[in-house]
Amino acid sequence: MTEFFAWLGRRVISGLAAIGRFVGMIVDTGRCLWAVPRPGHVTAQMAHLGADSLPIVALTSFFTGMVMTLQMASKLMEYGAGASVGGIVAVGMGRELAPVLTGVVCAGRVGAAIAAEIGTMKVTEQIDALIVLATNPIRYLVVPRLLACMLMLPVLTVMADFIGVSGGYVVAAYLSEVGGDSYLQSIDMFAGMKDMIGGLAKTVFFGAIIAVVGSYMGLNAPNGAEGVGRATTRAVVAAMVLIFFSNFFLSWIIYGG
Amino acid sequence: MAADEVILEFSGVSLSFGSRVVLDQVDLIVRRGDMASVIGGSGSGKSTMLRLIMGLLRPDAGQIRIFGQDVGGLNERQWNKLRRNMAMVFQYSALFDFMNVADNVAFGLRQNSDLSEWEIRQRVDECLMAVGLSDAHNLYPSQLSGGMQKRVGLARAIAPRPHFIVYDEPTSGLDPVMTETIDDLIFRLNHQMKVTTLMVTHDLVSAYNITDRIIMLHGGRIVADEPDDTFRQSLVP
Repeated sequence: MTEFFAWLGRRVISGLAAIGRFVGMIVDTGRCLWAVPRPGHVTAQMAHLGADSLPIVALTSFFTGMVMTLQMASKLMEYGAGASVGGIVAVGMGRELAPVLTGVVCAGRVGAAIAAEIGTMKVTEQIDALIVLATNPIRYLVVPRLLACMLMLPVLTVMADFIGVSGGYVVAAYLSEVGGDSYLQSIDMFAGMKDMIGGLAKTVFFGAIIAVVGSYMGLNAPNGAEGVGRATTRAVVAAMVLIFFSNFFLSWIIYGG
Repeated sequence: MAADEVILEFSGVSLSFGSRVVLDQVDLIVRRGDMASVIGGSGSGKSTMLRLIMGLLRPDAGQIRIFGQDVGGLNERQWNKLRRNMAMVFQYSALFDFMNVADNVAFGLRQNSDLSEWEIRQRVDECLMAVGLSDAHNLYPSQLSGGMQKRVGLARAIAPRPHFIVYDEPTSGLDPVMTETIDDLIFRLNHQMKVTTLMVTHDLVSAYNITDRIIMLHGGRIVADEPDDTFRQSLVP
């Protein structure tokens, strides 16, 4: 029994210590944001983390728009509501699917890359070398990645919105009885800028989650290749969970209950 | 700076990792111009000592003074000001693998100096020439041999012209020929630049070749601190 409580105590203490480190890193990152990083660092990360993610985001959103239209069309046509398919797809993509899909895809691709890069630097003493060379690793490594993710996720989401709706158009026009014109008119009638802007606002937070979680896991990677692998996996899982969790509350705040 | 100025002072410094005592009440003084080696078995706390000096670890007890300043209460900005006069050469070089050799050497200068880009390039050329790698500017660390990586690490350390350099096992993992090359390089650079040196090593021959003072750590304590010729003649456990 004593052993159980000792084990439990150790787990609680290490959990609290991890939360403390995570909050500490967020505070440090916030402080470092005041000292604007070199633009070259941020643009390099924007290209590396953002632009390179476009193909996978485009592919995912295109097929999501297609399958959503396929499913909606068959059901709504039964009830004579086929003329609302385009609007439903556009609102769904703009408010939820494009932001969350982009967030999840980037958590997998970008979050893993950040954790692996920084984790490798940690285990090969490159982080220590930065400190010894009087350079703050948070300012040099985390802030450019954070800014790049916060700027690029909304850009990727705008593209995901249009590509997803375009995927839906292909199905509506050529693979179902909805019809292309009806699909487009329905978008015009039901969807507004608020649907898209609300979704974009959420992705700024998702970008911050991906960068901060990936960086935290990398900076705290245990030694060795196995440690980097574990940190990478944890970064992806934690970022995805936090994206789904925060998405509910952000939607609640933005679109109301 | 006075010739006998104390560059580094450990007073009763202790550090433990969990229940394992790594350093136990260590007292040490390094004066300006000293060239000292710290030797000892694996796990005797040699590298830990260097990490304490560079502020990568904090002691559990005791006081560390660097350039006369108690580092216990320093904030990050004050630490970085101090670090601009110090350098560390890492055991596995710790070169930034996403930068080429020239950018690695220029890194400290770009981050912390007011030198123009032209002056930085001049300095990089000088440092790479000093370590015999004048034609390696555009190579990446993955394209270099172990000995070349050590030399780039050395060039990166001397580029900001520090007053105090610490070396963590600079010859570990090298063949005897390359070990001698690195020993000669460190000896020559330190004498040319008149830099205070503290070197951690397993290699007693390197310690005799490069430094003139041997400090031996055993069980977390300093058990010998003598000039190299005295040390050679003494019997230490």
